[in-house]
Amino acid sequence: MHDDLKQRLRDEVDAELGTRPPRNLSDVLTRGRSKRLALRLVTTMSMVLLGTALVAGGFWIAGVRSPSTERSPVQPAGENASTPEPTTNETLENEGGPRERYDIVDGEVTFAATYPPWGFDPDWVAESPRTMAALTADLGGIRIVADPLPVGTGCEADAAPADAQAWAERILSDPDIEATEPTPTRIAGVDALQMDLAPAAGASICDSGDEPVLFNSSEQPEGGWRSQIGLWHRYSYRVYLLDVPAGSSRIVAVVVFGFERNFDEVLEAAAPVLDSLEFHAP
Amino acid sequence: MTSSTYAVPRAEVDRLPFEDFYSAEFDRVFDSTFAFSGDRDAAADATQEAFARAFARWRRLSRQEWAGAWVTTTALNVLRRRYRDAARSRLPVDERTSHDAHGRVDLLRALRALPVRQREAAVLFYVADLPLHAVADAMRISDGAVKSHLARAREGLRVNLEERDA
Repeated sequence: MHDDLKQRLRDEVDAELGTRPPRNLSDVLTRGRSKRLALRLVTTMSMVLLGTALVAGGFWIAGVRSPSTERSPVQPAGENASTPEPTTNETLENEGGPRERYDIVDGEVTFAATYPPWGFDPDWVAESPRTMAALTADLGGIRIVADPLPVGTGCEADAAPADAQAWAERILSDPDIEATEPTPTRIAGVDALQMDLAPAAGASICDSGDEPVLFNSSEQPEGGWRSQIGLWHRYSYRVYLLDVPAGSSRIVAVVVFGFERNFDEVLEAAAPVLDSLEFHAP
Repeated sequence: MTSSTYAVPRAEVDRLPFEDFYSAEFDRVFDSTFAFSGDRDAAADATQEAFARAFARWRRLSRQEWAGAWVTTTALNVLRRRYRDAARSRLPVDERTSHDAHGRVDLLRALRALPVRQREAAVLFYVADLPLHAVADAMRISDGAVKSHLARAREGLRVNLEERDA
């Protein structure tokens, strides 16, 4: 059946296309060189600005960037959204690139990340830019969401648990999620609960996604894959639940995920990002 | 689409010059973007753009077995982004290409009427001829979810064709 459909579609592509456009390698190389130059230029300028800022102020003085409007200059969304699983020899590189700052909840929650390995992924926050941020690297990702909502039994957004502890208990009682007991930890000086998660065997899924949903954005409570954080098979997940010490949000959830075999490496690379979290009063 | 970088052993990929990669993968990427959109010009531009992005990071990408899948999915994302403002789930279909002389393009038109994620899975699997796990990795979903998308896509193709024939 698959082979027949493949052949029919290929035949129809051939019939509809007639001849394919001429290959134009020089156009690709010209565009590619321009992009490569731009990447290097942005990286160099960012390093210069960073150095200047550090020398002038002794601390980071660059403005906070909003993930709703800014894109990582070196990691366009298309690649991020579609990067397949790398081979086992690949590593999360950290070449000391520019450090970008991001914020959600109108600047009340900020964090910073260095590229490489972390690049901002606007595809994942397109519908929830105020409450959700997303970073991706070759081997994994980090999602940060303020005041997430759970998904009810009918796939509708449910009422938010009162605090981090209540959220952890809610996750533990979810039949679609395999979770470890929450363990206390500290993220950026704030008490947090840490849990490792995986989709349960036979987990029910909602039409809006392909996997059990862990968190819905409060901004788009009706769901949609870009406003949800789901649990994909073959990935490992660690979630941190924080009671926010300042600002209008009550809870921030941080989800770190990666392919199982590389997960320790992803966690290690994610640690500086988590440590950079700051909470500000409005 | 006679050559697949996805299937080339890693040791050979290590030495693959970009020019050879472009030559080997062009048809796969262009056919996929065209099947996805029905817009010849947009497909051609998305294909070039995806290869340009690949060239910009070729030093790293050339070491990967999945370079072909990377370029294909990047090209589809370029297309999706282009059409995002126009319609989130339905991309325009080029009416000039509704049928050939033998009426053989119905299936392709039905494909383009599918929801985006089903269409993406179907294009990557049926047109780009990527293995199931490569489609799953490219779409960042499980193998089972890909199978689910493909099953829905096949059902959608059947319904669309039946509605057209009715």
